Amino acid sequence: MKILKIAKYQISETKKALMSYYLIIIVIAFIMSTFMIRIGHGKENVSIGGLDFASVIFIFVVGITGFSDSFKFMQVNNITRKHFFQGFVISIFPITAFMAALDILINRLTNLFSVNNSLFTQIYLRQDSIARANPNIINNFIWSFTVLSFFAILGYFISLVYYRSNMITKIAVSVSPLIILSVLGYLNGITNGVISYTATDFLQLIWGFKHGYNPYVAVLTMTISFILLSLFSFLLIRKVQVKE
Amino acid sequence: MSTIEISNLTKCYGKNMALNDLSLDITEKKIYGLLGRNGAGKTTLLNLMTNKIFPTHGEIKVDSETVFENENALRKIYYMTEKGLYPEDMKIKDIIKWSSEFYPNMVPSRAFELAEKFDLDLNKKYKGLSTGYTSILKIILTLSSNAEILLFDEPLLGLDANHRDMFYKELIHHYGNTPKIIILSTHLIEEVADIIEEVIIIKNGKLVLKKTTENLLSSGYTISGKAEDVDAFIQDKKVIGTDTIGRFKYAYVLGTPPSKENDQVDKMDLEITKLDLQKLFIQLTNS
Repeated sequence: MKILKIAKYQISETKKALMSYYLIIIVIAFIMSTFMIRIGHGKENVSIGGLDFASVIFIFVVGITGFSDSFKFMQVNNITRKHFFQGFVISIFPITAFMAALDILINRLTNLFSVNNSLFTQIYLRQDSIARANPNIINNFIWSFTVLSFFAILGYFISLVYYRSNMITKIAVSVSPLIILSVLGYLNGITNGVISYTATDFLQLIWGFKHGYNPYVAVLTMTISFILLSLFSFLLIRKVQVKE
Repeated sequence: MSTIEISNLTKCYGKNMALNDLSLDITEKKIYGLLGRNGAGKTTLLNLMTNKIFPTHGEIKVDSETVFENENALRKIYYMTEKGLYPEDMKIKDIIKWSSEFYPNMVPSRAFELAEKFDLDLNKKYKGLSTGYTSILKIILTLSSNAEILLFDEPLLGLDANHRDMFYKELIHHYGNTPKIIILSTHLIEEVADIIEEVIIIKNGKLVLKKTTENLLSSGYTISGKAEDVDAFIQDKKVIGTDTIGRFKYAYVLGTPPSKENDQVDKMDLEITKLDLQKLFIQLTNS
């Protein structure tokens, strides 16, 4: 029961930001649709898209900010780290389900007046104009839900890594992606593009568009990644202490 | 009835040993004073008792259950931390509301009643509170938590004399209604001396003593009078400290107080009073 209360608290902490975010998204969608109706010269020539990519960024930020303040408040209320973590993980699902549903709703509504391609449509239905015009809502929802959930736990995991790190580790963690990319870039150069080819191949495989277009491959990838990141986050949270 | 058992507790921060093999049992419903100089290990001990930090060695149990990551044991304790751990942008009424979600025995109406008494604005955000009102909020939450064990770490921080007086009254009222283990960690020893029933003194991470206040204060006495008379009286006594104000002198002496009929006391017109807890504390924790 206490875990559900913790989840309820986490959701309530996100509610305000979520409302402000969707208010902005709805206004942008409305302005863009109006703009397109006025100067778009018909649906065929101009389209908008990627609005739901903002949701991915938003939920990632929710994940990043979901740890520090909540952890302190849970500590003052003598909540164990295990329950705090479980509460956070449970809180992700209603938020991401709500966001996935609302993203689809906004997308469908704006499609009544203009062409608004969602991320899902752009990735998986770009080859099929009939399916693109009328995408499968269930597939779209499940895909969006798992992708958003993954990015929420990714943000949470990153914030935990930073929280647990001292200054030197923080710098190392921040700089390491640049170093890795530079090294890979160099290796790519001396191997005539083998690295970039392999990376593209791998990304296409895990996102489900290497052999045809199958969003459920991405759903599986995101689910496995979510479980792994949850486990790593739990290992980091087990002995975490409030910092000064 | 809740009990706290602390066995062989050691906490190291790098090379610094904050607590050193400390063992302590707190079994009776009393108001305890946890005293010690700065850095003695008081806050470390309270943080360990509430699973905020982890021990290097040793164990703490509440009702025979470990406190580390144990919801059963932890829900019996409410800890008023010295640190401000509440969300900065949260309103006071929401802090009370959410705290009562996590402490089902907390009575929000009692918290609101205390807030009114202490003149705490419920619509203010936590970040808008002064140091004194931050302490008041934490006091209110602790007193209305209805937990079986209450821990106060520096509860008087930033409180003016009126609010300190109100705190003492509310604490005694609460304790009178529902006797429980209450641990007060504070440097204002003189003020709390009349409230605390048992004294726990730690020094350099070790337990120095755990004694009832009554027993501790009866281990000596204060003698006062003209400086030269007091000096003459204490010549062969074990004196733990003196204070001189003009020609008047106070001496804090260990041992059984002389009877009022004692010739020397009578002739010199000296006055015998209770030993001062703060003086005794200074003596015990000096060096």
